[in-house]
This record gives sequence, structure tokens and C-alpha cells, in this order.
Amino acid sequence: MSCRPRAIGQCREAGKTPTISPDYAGVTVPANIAPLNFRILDAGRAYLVVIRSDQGQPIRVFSKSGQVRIPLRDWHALLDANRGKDIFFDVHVQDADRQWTRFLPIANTVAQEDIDGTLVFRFMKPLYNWWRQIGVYQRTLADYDTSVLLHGRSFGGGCLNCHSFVGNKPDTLSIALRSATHGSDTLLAHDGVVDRIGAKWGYTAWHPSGALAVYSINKVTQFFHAGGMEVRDVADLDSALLCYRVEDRKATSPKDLADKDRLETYPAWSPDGRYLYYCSAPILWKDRNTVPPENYDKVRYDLRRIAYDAARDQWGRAEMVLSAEQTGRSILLPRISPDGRFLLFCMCDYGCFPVYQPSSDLYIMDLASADRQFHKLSVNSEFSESWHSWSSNSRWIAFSSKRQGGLFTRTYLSYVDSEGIAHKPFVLPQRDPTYYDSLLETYSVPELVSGPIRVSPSRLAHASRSRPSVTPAIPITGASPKAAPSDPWKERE
Amino acid sequence: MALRNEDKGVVPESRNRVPTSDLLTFSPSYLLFFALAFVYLWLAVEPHLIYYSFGTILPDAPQFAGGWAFLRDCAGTPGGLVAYTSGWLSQGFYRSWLGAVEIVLAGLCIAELSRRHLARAGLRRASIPACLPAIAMFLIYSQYKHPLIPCLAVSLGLLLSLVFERWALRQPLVRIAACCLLAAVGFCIGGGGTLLLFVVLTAIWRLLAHRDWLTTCVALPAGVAIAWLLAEYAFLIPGGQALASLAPFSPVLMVGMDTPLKVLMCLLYAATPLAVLLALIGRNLLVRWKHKAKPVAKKTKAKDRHIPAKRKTAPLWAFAKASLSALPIALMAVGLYLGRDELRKPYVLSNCYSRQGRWDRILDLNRRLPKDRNNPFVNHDLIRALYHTGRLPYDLFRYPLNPHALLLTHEQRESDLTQQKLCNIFLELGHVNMAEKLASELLATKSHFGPALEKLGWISIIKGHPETARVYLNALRRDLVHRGTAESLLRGLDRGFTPEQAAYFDRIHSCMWEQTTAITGTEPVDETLTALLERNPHNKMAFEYLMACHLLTGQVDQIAKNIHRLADFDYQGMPTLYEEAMLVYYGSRQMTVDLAGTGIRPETFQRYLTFVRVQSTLQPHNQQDVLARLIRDFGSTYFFYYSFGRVGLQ
Repeated sequence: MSCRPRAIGQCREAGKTPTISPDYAGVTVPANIAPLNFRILDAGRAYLVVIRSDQGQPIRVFSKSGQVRIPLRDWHALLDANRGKDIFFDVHVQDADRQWTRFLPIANTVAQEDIDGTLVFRFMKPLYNWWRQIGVYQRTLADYDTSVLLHGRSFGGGCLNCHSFVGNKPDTLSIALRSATHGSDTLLAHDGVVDRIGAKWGYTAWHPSGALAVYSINKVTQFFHAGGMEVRDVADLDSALLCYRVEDRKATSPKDLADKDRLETYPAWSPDGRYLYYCSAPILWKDRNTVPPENYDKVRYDLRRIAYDAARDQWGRAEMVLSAEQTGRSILLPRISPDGRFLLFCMCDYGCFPVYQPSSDLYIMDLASADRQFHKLSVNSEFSESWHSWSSNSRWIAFSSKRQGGLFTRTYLSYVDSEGIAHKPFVLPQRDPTYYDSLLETYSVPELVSGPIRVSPSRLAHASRSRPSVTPAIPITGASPKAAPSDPWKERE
Repeated sequence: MALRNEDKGVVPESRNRVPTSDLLTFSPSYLLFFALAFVYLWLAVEPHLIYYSFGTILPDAPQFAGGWAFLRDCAGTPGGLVAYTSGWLSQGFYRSWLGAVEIVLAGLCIAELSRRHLARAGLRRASIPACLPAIAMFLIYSQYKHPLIPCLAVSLGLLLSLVFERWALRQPLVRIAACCLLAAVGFCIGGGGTLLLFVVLTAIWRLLAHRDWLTTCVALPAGVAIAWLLAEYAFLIPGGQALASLAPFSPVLMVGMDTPLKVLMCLLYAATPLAVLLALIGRNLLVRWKHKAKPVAKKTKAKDRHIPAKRKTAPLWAFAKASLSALPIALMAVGLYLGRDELRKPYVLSNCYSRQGRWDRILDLNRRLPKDRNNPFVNHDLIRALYHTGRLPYDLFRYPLNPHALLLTHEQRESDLTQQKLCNIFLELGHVNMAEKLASELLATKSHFGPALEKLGWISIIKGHPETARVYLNALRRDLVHRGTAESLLRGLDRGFTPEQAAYFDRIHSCMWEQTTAITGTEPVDETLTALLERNPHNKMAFEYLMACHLLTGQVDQIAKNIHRLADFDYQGMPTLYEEAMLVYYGSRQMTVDLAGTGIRPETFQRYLTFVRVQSTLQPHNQQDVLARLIRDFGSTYFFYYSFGRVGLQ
């Protein structure tokens, strides 16, 4: 393959757009995204793609295999020069008779706004009871550079998850660890220093001030479905939200966030720090040990919020934002845009784990509207969409989608305009256009952050094997006797 | 480099140089040993049985997939490149002859490197002791383990040590730097095992042959420290864990090995360093002794002058020489004899046959097995073979049985082998989601596993998820052995499947559980099988397995409850074991049997009456005789099994 320009004589017109993989047609891209390398699926013996826009030199890419790998520098120059404009991909295919055919151009749009420069994600094979390789990685979105932040092999093949940040800033990072050898705790990295907190944080939301974090504790259980598309299912037999203050190194449990008769999870702060949004559902089973719990398929979470006064460290009363009764669905994973305007969440038929629910779709609520109108985003597919995050300028979202067949989660990026309309999403670009065709791992929990994580992987690795430097007392005790877990889905204290 | 005082026992460097002819000489017996080893490995061990054990019976066997991504992942851990190479070579085990060639070449490599070390240490006839690591390796293979990774790690350590010795660097700083570099390279490529061997051998050479305390005390610890730092900061794994990787004391390396095998594994690592150590010590002592004995030696030489030279080549010496040459073969034979286990090969053979669907072979194998022992996995394969040959409701009790064998319920935590076998049988039964779960778990715990990928490809097609199937099959295309299957299925997705493939999909699909019933995977066997029958009453496998479950657990009432299902199938009359179970059922309730109505044959009924009559004569004084008669005449019937809780086998 070469990107040297080749001259083409007469061309037939195909009269249609080419078929390419991944689908990078009609998408809106940031100027600082890596090249959208793709593969032309229309049969031919040679291919020429010309990428052009109003300003700047067109990029010509020639290929014999159909794989189009766009030069990085030229790509960025072209996109940067054409913010707010369309770019066109003119695809030409030479057939066996050496006749060139030109397809209708693929039109994409370059947004004015950039996307955050780094994506942090969890990378692993579809998870059942056992695993071997789980890692949290960071990827520079302007190119393809990917590096490990922390891998399970650093601490005896353990599991790690629930990475979260303060806003979209990379300075503060928390990651939860689960390890039979080194214990289940949480790493807190701040300005390059790593502490190990002797508590297992679940889903975590940092207050914008960075002074405290609200995290869930979940008695998670996994079970399976004898039939149907998705084999796995997850239920929280019990859950609650706790609040950890960094300075005091203490955990507290506000009453409304740890109701014994309800399941609280998925905290999310408003950007001004005045409200904590979270999901809450009534516990529909008497026995909190039986798996699967009775009525597991009737659990539907409400979306609630509770006021918080940071100056006085006081909590208000919980209030309903959107009820499951109103929607008939389970409302999960609230995330508020950094400008405070929109609330992005997902809804599925039941339960607490949307990534295992093909019915899970993304919705957006306009918090500025009087009646909190919400609508389903057009980015959804027939499979699960979930694990979404905002960029710091509130114009981009990254989310997990299983649209490639229903099993493998990939990260998609979508532009959200000022009216809350999400544009056609595109899969995270890769150097190899065929990368996703045989990728057995999933990209999970994509988080957009404004820059690379500075804490060194070796420090995180050392901390993952060290003893806790902070051991806050947990204000909630479990009703069931403590027992060593036999699998990663069982809660440990 | 001029050495110091010979009186101190330091061997002059000129003596460190071994004549090229010695380095290149292969004695005929040396080659004969490896030739015989090849024949034995090829025809007796049959390495393709080891291939079929990869990932299951040998859960930590190295995997291999083509492409840069897999290579990059392997290179990201210490010893990963050796594992990668081993994985690539292991694909050759698919063909027994090729696997035998690879094993012998690996043995030759390690033997040759050992021989060069020993020759350099002054042992002129070094071939024999040099064979010890190869002997250890071949004996480990005879036990159906797979020590290729440690063999390569050891070979690399031997090679690096030889290279360092050959360099003969004069400058201390350069020597230290070279030592550190080789240690780091060895660690990255071959893990802690290579590093250990390199460090130990280099220390032995440096101290005993060169009196080089500087290298021993500075460079070697520095090399280990560099490896530690690489582990902690480059590979991001604990230093201790990294240094133990591929080392003889690593628990991963010794998993599933009994004490004799562990000893052999240690011998693989330790034989050459020990031999070099002894050779150098012996050489140093000899030099000292010769120096002290010089005047005496002159006198003895005068005496010896009159001894005819011919006496030194006496027949005794030739016999001793021949015996020594045959020693490797003798050691190997003794090792094979001491380690023999008549059940070891059948175990892996059964696994291989079941993977290949060679059901008749499994039945033949089980007929030859000792009657007083059984293995749940072999039993499981047997039951499956009986089903596929149409003999399950007839011949089940002709073999020793383990009730857990049906769906391998004997383990608290499912082993990889259990997962694979259950995946296969669940797929056949139509329990497709559980098959998917098991295959996915197998895949999640391995970097690459062709059989699981293949199963997941089939499952995704059956469930109507072609895009997911493509991902699995595209990944499977990187598997050297399974590539053809992947391409066939991908072609099928694009252009249509063959009639056989389509028939298979249709059959499984017709049995597939469709309701999204929540399960944990620990449901009772009969409950699962009954649910599958509810889904499709014509699921013959589920029916026969359900009945087998009831037979094995003595639930004759359940046999009676399900006997009506025979009408859903094409049996020519009621199968014998079901007849016998029904008679037991009627007998236990003292019910009258309407032969015509029940479909039980009169001869079966007569046999039952005879059994009952003979059994009723059982008394303490004639127990042996009556039992012997019952075993002879009714040992393979359900009557006997139900009465005595076991199969009556002679």
C-alpha cells in the first residue's frame, strides 16, 4: 500500500456510495481525532481514496488491499483547516479489467469543537466467572497511542474496574481492585502520588471540588439465562452509597443514600456540586442471598437526586427526577454534561446492569427545560448502549455499544450539539482498519479526560500490591455473615 | 589471558580450549539414543494426544495465534517469547511424527548445549552425562506432560552462558556489562528460568575456571537486579513472580505433577550445572593432585613403561565403553519402567477420541480398561460414545460407572477439561447458552484457544448472530490448525453452508432452549435434562441422558414416569435397560406386570424372574458363589446394578 498519488484516467460512475468498514460515512468528527482508517469492501484490484475539503491539500491514499490508512499529519492539517465544514472521501476502485469506478463521495463533518485528548477504558474479554487479563488503558485520541495504566497481572491476576476522575481532569484517578492475593481495595492517585484505601469502591463519582467521592457498595451476583441472546445477567442483591472525604479519610453514609429497603447505585454529581444524582430501586426479595433473587426481572430503578451543601457538608432530602413507574423502564447511569445542561442516562427493561441488556438505550434529558424533557438518542442500535461519558466541553460523548453483533462492546464517539441532538456515532478509530473484525476483547467504561494520566503505571502497580495506607471505617455492616468469596462477583468486606 | 598460579588449582586457559573435533563429534550411541527416542515418542507416546490435551488436561500449555498482536502480548511478559516459540512449535504436535521430531530436536539441542559445556569443562566423553536433561524431558513427555517451555528456557540459559564464555572478555567493566546484558536479554526472552541457569552456570565458570570474583560478586547480582527492575518497571509485574517464571520452583510449572515428575523437571534444569560443577571441581582437584604427585609420577612412569600398550585396549575396556554408551538408553528404559501407569495413556486417548468424534474407538478402549478402576472423564466420554453408537439404553452397565460422569458433577470448581467437555455436550443437548458460557470462560482464561473459538463460532451461528460469529472465526483464522474450519464457516456465512453444516445447525436449533429462564449452572442434572425435553420432546440425547441419570441414581419411579416418551422416538421396542428398570419398578411395588401392555419382552421378564430367584438364595454361607453366579449371568443388567449399587464385572 502506498499513499503516493496515482493518476486515474476515465472513470465509470458507480452511482452509489462505497461500502466501507468501519462505517465512517455521514459522521461528525473532531479535528483532533486520529485518522479514520477504513477498509473498502467493494471488490477491486486497486483503490484510490481522495480526502478533500474546502481548505487545504487533498489527501490521496492508494491501496492494493482496500485498506485505507490515512497519513496522520496530513489528516490533522486537513481537519484543522476545515472546522465546521464537510470533508469528502472520493473512493475509486479499479476492477480486474483495470477500469476505474468512482463512487459517490462519502461526506463527513468536522466539528468546531475538539474532543478531550485521552480516553481511559477497561479492556478485557467478555467476563463470566473467570478471567485472566483485565487492564485499564489510556488511549490518545489524536493518534493510536495506547498504554496500560494498570493491569491485573500486576497484582496476581486480579480484577480492576470503576475507574473515575474528578470532572474530566486526569490529575485524580480512582480505580477499584479485586484480588484474592492482595485484597479488594481502591487506589487513589492524585498528582502522581498513589494511596491505597482499604475499602472497595464500586461505581464512583467525584465531587467537582475533588474533596469527596460518593461510591457504591454492591452485593453483586451474576447468573445466566438458559435461552435468549444475552447469556449473562447481574443483580445487586443489595447496594448502598457511601461518601468518602479525602481530607478526613472517613466514609459516611447519608440516610437517603443507604436505605435498607432500597438499592442505591450509580452516583453522579452535577457540575456545580450542588446535587448528587443516583439510581434507586426497592428491594423486591426477602432473601438477600438467593441467586437469582425472586422478581429480579421486575426491579426498576428510579432516577433521584439529593442536594448537597459542600461548605457545610450537609445533605438535603432525596427527590425524584424521573421515576421508573413513569417510564416503565429501569433508569441507570446518569451522567451530567459539564455545562450542566444535559443529563445523559440509559434505560432498559429491568435490572441494574445495562451492558447485559440488549434493550438498553441512551436518553438525554434537558435539565434547562421546565419539565425536564427527555428523549431517546438517535445513536442507539438494537443492542445495548451504555457506559457513557461526556467530554469536558459537553459536545462529545463516548459510550459503549454492542451494535457489532450484540456481544462485543466497542467504544463509540458522538457529537452532541447545543440542542442535545446526538449525531451519528463512529467507532473509535484504529490504525488497522480490520482491528475490530477479530477483536475478542471489549472496550468497557470509556471515560474522556482532558489529558494523559501522569501517574506512572509502575506506581499504580506497586500500590496494587501494597497494604492500605488509609483504612476508613465502613459505616454500613452487611446483614449476612462474612465469608471469603469463591468468585469475583461475590461481595467481600 | 594468562592465568595465575597453577599450584592454586587454576587450570591454564589453554586447557579450557576443547579441540574442535571433540566439539563436533557425535558418538553413534548418542545418535542411536535419539533415534530410538524418536520412534518411542512417535509410536508409543503419540504427541497428537498431547496436542488434544492443550488447554484442558494441560491447562497451562502454551497457546499460539498468528499475527503481531499475539506476539506483542507475549513479548510483554518475561519468558513470553519462549512461550510464544513453544506455542508455535506445539502446533506441530497435531501430527504425531512432527511432534516427535520437535521433541527430539529440542532434546538434541539441550543435550548438545550441555555437551559443549561439559566438553569445555574438560569432560572428554561428555555425550553421556549431557543426555541427562534430554532423558528427563523425554520421560516427562512419556507421562503426557508438556515440558517444551522449560526445555527452551533451559536451552537458552545454556546458550547464553556458552556465549559469555566464548567471548572471553578481558576488560572487567566490559565483562560486567556483557554479563548484565546477557542476563537481561535472557530474562526478557526466557524468564526467570533462563536467568537462573545463566547466573548459576556463569558463577560456576567464573569461580572455578577463572577465579573471577569480580564477575561473580558484582555482575551476577547486578544482572538479577536488572531483571528485577525490568519486571517491576517495564513488565509491571512483581519482581519475585517474574524471577520465578519458568523457574523449576514455579508452582505454575509444576502444576499437576507428582513427585517423580517434579524431580525430573528439576533434573532438566539442574543436570548440566551440576555436571559442570563436578567436572570443574574434579578437574581442579586432578590438577592439584598431579602437581603434588609429580615426583612419584616419574617413578610410576618408569614402571608403566614396561606395560604393553595393548593391555589398555583390553576387551574389558571396550565392554565398559559400550556399556557406557548404552547408558542413556538404559536410563530411559528404567525411567519408563518405573513411571509406567496403565491408565495414563487411555485417559488422554479417550479425550482425543472424543474430540475427534471417534466413538467406536472409545468403546474399544473402555473394553480394554481394567474393570476395577474408572475415571469420570473417561466415563463421560464412554457414555457419550454409547449414545452416539445407539447403545446407551442397552450397554450402559457393561462398563464400570461413575454417576458423576454424566455431566461431570464431581468437581467443586470446574476444571478446564470439565468446561470443555460440558461445553461440547451441552451444545449437543441444545443447552446452547450454557455451552456459550463455558466456552467463553475457557477463552477468557487463555490468551488464545482454538477449540473454544471454534465452539463459539458455531454457537453464534446457531443463535443467529453472524456478526459475532465472524469475530470469533476471524480470530480462529490465526490458529494454524483450526484455520481451515474457520474459513469453511466464514464461507458458509457468506455463501451458504454445506448440507451437513446446515443439518447440524437445524438440529441444535430445534433443541435450543429459547426461554430466558434464569439459571446458575448448578441446577440438578435431571432438572436440566427435563427442561430440554420440555423444549423439544424429540430431543433424543436429552431423553437418553435423562433416563441414564435416573438409572444411575436408582430412580426407577422416574423411569416409569418418563417411559411414555419412547413414543416420541423411533425405538424398535423398549430398550433393554428400560425394560429391566420397569421390572424393578413393578417388583419394588409388587405390581402385576402386563407384558403386552407395557411392551416388555417375555425373555426380559423371564430373566428378571431368574435373577430374583437366584438373588433370593443369597445367604451368608453361600454369598461368594451366588454373587459370582449373579455377576456371571446378570452383571451387565440393571437388575444387578439396582440391587448392589454397582456394575457386576469380572
